[in-house]
Amino acid sequence: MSPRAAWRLESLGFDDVADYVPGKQDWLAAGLAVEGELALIPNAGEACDPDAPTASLDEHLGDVRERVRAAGYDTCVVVNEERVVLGLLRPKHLEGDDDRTIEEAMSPGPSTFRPHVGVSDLAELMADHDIPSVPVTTGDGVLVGLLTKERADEVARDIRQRIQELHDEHEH
Amino acid sequence: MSTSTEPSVTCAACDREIEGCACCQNPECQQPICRRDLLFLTRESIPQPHTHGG
Repeated sequence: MSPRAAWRLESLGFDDVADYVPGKQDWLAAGLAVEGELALIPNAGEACDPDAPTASLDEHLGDVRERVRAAGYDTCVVVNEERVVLGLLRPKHLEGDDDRTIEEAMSPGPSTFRPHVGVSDLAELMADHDIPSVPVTTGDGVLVGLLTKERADEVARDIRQRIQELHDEHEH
Repeated sequence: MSTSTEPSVTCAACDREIEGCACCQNPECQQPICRRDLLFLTRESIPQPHTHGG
């Protein structure tokens, strides 16, 4: 549909038309700008913490554990130099010997979610599967941030409250 | 022919046999879900009504 829409816009006289070949889902997954009613609702990319602690494969557990705790977290995302997610360190993974490398300790290939995913949907998933936090990444696997269940629940509550307020405004 | 002694895991949404829960990766997950249905739940993908154009 997109190439035909682009050609049609040109035929209507628009002269600055671009066709994003990878498609709408790729655009959304990259966390790029969007408009519309749904764009007003916070998504995972906006709710996650971009400054959540990270670690690289060659670091050692003792150093990383201290850094994670100092940041007020109990989970750390393992990334490479391009910030591509390689693994996750949950509390149980952080308990090992200080000299253990992150590569040895981590849980590789964690499940990740795209920035445009709704926070309410994620909050429900995290409750159903008892997940304390999830990495949010672009379609290329680059870390956007870490979304905790507490944060997801808080934002989901705000969304429900806002929807109720809008509903009440319409009623009166 | 190989035989697996591990208990099979089925997706709670579509009943297909899967290696494990695509959401939490917990082997003891009570509601394991496949990657495809996870993408439907998070609205990253939309279920198609049919497999061919019509």
